[in-house]
Amino acid sequence: MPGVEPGVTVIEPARGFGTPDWTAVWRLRGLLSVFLWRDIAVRYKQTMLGVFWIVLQPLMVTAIYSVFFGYIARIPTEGKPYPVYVLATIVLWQFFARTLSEAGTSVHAQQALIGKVYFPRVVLPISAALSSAIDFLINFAVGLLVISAMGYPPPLRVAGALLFFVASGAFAIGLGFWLSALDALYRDVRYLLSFVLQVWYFATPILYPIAAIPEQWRWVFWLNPMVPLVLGFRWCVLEGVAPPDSLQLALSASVIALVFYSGSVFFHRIEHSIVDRV
Amino acid sequence: MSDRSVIVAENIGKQYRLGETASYDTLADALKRRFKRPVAERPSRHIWALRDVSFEVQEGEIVGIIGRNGAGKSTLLKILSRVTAPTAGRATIRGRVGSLLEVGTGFQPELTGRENVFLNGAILGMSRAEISRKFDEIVEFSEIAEFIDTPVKRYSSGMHSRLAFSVAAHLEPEILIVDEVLSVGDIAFQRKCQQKMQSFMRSGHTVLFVSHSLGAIAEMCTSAILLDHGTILRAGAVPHVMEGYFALLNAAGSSGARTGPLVHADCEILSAEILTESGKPSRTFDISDPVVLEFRYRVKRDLFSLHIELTVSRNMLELIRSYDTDGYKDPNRHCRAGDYVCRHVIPGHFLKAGSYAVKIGAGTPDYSMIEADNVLTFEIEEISENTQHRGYRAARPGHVISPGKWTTEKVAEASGQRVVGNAQ
Repeated sequence: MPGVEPGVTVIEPARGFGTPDWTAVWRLRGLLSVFLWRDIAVRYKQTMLGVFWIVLQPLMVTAIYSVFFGYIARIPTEGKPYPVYVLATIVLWQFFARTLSEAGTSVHAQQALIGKVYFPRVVLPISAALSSAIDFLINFAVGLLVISAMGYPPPLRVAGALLFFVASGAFAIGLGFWLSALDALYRDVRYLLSFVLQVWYFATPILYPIAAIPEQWRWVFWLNPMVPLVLGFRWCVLEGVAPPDSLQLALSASVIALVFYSGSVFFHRIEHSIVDRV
Repeated sequence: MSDRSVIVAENIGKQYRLGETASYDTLADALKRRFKRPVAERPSRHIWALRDVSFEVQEGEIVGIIGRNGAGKSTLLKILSRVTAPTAGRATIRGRVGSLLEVGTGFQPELTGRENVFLNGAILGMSRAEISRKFDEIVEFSEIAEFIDTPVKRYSSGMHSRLAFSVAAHLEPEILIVDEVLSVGDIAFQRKCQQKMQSFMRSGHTVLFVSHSLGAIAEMCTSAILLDHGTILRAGAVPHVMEGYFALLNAAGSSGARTGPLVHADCEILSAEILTESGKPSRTFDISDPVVLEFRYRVKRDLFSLHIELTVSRNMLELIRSYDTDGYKDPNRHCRAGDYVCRHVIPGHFLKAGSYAVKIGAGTPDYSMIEADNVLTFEIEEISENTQHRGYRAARPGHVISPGKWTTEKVAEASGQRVVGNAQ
């Protein structure tokens, strides 16, 4: 806060709009890392196979879809085997979906904590996102190994996939900021969310190429900021698939920036009184 | 703001919407409520949990916050520890604040004691290095070293709170905000916690705490704040604030709930009086004066047994419990029908300065006929007190002036010679 001598805290009603104090997030990296470590430790305590469960999820889903959509329905996949094609993008979607639901429910999930102790609340969605980012990195590495072993080593531009990962993370956190406030107020937000995520999943070209969609329905995909991210991610991971439309990519990036910015302002506005509402 | 003020609260207010904490459970409910009636017509359902609360706390002060349930004590602590924002006003705090609104905040049952020490410490605002440095001390203080690598879910509730308090006790802020945490574990551990608190306080730190143990507040605090219905009723010296609190409690219960009936089918208390040694009614006594408590009672029919019971308390802490049968061989001397008068004399130089309340009862060892709280109150003041007799002063710990005497003898000459009792 400007104009205040160090070591002095001024407690006042929340007024006006501003962005969260991002430097506070950096100063609280200790707490952030403890939260992160706690999430991971709690998740895998008493599970014998530990990290195996993280990896199993995308592999299982890929195997199931390969049987139904690849083998039985024979969906075209730009000349790639169905498992390779799906595995190349499903890790990104799973990261996005998990970050969104974890960040969106993080405040409510920690209501006992926030009622008793102060720390910038923004740490909660951020630590939820970081914990699913760690899962993503493991899954991404394993996914690359698997598709390489199947004869499809990634091209050099594979490092660019991390850009699409960061963009989907920012999108998920931005939406998560909005959702966590709503989730604190209304219990049915989380049910609605899982439903919306299901529909969104099938409305994003993960299990099929965008070319499989009839021309007159393509405009729908322009409304979905995840489309260019998924296409871009796949283009980075696999040789010989269509790159994303650059105009659509720019549009998506602007939407994400807007959602992230407005979400953080909104979250900052309510973070001091959210405890009275959960 | 004076130079040594570490907390300055100016007109703090906190408004809650009624039912807000309960929330609307579903969106449908919320929408229904919103569209049922135009906004303007909806009745105002706001309450002020705190209103215009202003006070200053100086560095090194230990401030107790008292008040009945729902007076706004916890809300005030929550605002000062930044858990929730005020609706109005402003508070300025100078220094690092540690707040303990609950013991064991964020404890994770799946994690071990060791892991929880780090987690809880970080949540309370300690750095990892700080926790590592104090880790051994924390574990030693908790007395559960052998279970430190066991998941906390296997702990008994006593072990759980011991560990939690140990972490909290090693938080070293400049200003500590505490809500009712001294009551953990067994008596021995409680005492240890209290000692830890006291040494923290003596080392010049500022403490703000809510407690229902008025004894603890009287013992530890240098000043107090009485809250009622969200506003400050009294603030300042502890006895002054305590009196206000008792007045509040008495006023609240004045319709007979406080004072039990003085009449029973078999027995009736006719009068109760406080007298000086010479028999004059008085409410205020010097610290050196004896206090005479006199009761008249009527036994309505011949009984097998009867005793009169007397309790003297200060700040809700019972100091004396005495029976008229104490010290007599035959406990049933006065149980025939008739009127009686009994007196109990409390010697001078026994009660410290303060406000006292007397509770009276009548009954048999296994049956209570009459029990009446606060039938009498009196004050002890330090009128004859001077600086040479500071030992009696009210602020010193301990509830009464010791009736014992000190004697000291010289048992050996100084310089290198051993004391007789220790010689081989």
